Amino acid sequence: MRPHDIGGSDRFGAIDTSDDRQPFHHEWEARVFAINRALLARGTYTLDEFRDAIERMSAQEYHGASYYERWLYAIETLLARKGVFSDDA
Amino acid sequence: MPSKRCSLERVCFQMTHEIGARIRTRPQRLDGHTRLPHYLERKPGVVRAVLGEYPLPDRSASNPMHAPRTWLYTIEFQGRDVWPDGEGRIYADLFEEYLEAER
Repeated sequence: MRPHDIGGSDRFGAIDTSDDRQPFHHEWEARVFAINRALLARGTYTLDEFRDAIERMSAQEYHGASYYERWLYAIETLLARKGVFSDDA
Repeated sequence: MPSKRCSLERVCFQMTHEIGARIRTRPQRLDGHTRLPHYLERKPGVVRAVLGEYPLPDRSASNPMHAPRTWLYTIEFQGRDVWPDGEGRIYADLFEEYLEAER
């Protein structure tokens, strides 16, 4: 099963419901958000491809990454796959 | 919306399930992208809304240019049907491929 599909599982502890009302906690997160929006808008990849890229992370990678770290992983993976830049970029 | 992104072949010309219809979810392709969560597999539910036709994400994820459009429904589940100690109701927007008619 894919690592994101944990709805209903009781193996991950209580959900953190605290909310500091900040959409981003680091400037790089806002930049990742904007880059993803721009790439989706120009059709470089679709939202479905983006989600699929995140879901293909290993369980260890997925749960060890923050929300926007996963976004960045997907963006890098897709841009390499689409030939926008090479693997060693 | 860029028109070059998808070729929109229609899988069905008429939605299969009507509002109020009883359905049961069925598991999708093992380990592929899907919008049916594991905890809602093989569960009985009722159609509460028809949301329109959209490209099936299970196919679009790997082949964005040729994903068939398919009907999307809002399904209502009873909490007790989903988990042993479940309560209340759960609503999930699910594609036609994820559903079969429940007798």
